[in-house]
Amino acid sequence: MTRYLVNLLLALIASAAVPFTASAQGTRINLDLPDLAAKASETTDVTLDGAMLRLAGKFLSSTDADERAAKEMINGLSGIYVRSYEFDHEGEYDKSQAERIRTQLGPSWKKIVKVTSRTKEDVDIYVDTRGDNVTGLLIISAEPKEFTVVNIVGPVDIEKLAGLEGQFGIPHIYRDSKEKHGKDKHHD
Amino acid sequence: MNLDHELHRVLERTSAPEGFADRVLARLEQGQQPKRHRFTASTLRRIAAAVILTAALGGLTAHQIVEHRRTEGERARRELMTALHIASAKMRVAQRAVAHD
Repeated sequence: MTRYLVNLLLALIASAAVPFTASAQGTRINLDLPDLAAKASETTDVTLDGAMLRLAGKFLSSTDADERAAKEMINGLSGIYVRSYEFDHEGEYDKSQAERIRTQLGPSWKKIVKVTSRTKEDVDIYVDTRGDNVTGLLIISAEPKEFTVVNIVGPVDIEKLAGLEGQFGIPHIYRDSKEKHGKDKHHD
Repeated sequence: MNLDHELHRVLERTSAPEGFADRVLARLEQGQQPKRHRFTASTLRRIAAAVILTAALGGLTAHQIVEHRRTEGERARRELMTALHIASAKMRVAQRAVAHD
């Protein structure tokens, strides 16, 4: 009987702790879009939950500047999820697919940036906020031949995230040649 | 009278057979002695082989676990760098657009 009561108490504590943890860590968004995956010529699928992030962190070099920055970035995060679909031809996917992602956003999510371009890419950035803290990030990017969604769960340092690309020694995937040259010179 | 006679015959005290007490004591002594396991050379060889095989299998399994963990970790590291690169690139696109406005 005593054991039963202890188990019941533990179960109640656990059930009370789950929503608290979820609210502190933000919400994971379901990024899977099977319609796009079926049409895409190339798909990038990254699913890193808290355990995998910690494992990845152990394999990041502390001497490499990029990996050191990444290690700092993931500190405290509980998940990073990316789906990127590349298509052979323009207009091969329906941009309204993004709505399936947006409909999952609750009232704690706020749109902080909306970039609309007729020829290049549309980018929407949403943050999940609890009080003054950012507890999640969602990026939806729609290009003529590419659709990308990124969901980061946990306290995200947005400025640090934006600054990471400048540090990474890998080629830029965007075609802003003017800025690219500037960065290349800076790196050299 | 017949019953009395029969009872008397059955309950009559009789002495134990010759050597009964010695045999009982001998049995008791035999039972108290611990049983000895004697391993033959062949049994010892089998035990040694089993120990070596177990150790080798254990070592192999441990190596496989460590190797699997390392492979998983490397894969997670690569995926993390890809994910952060994509995320930061998109953030930069937004930053540039905001800066141009």
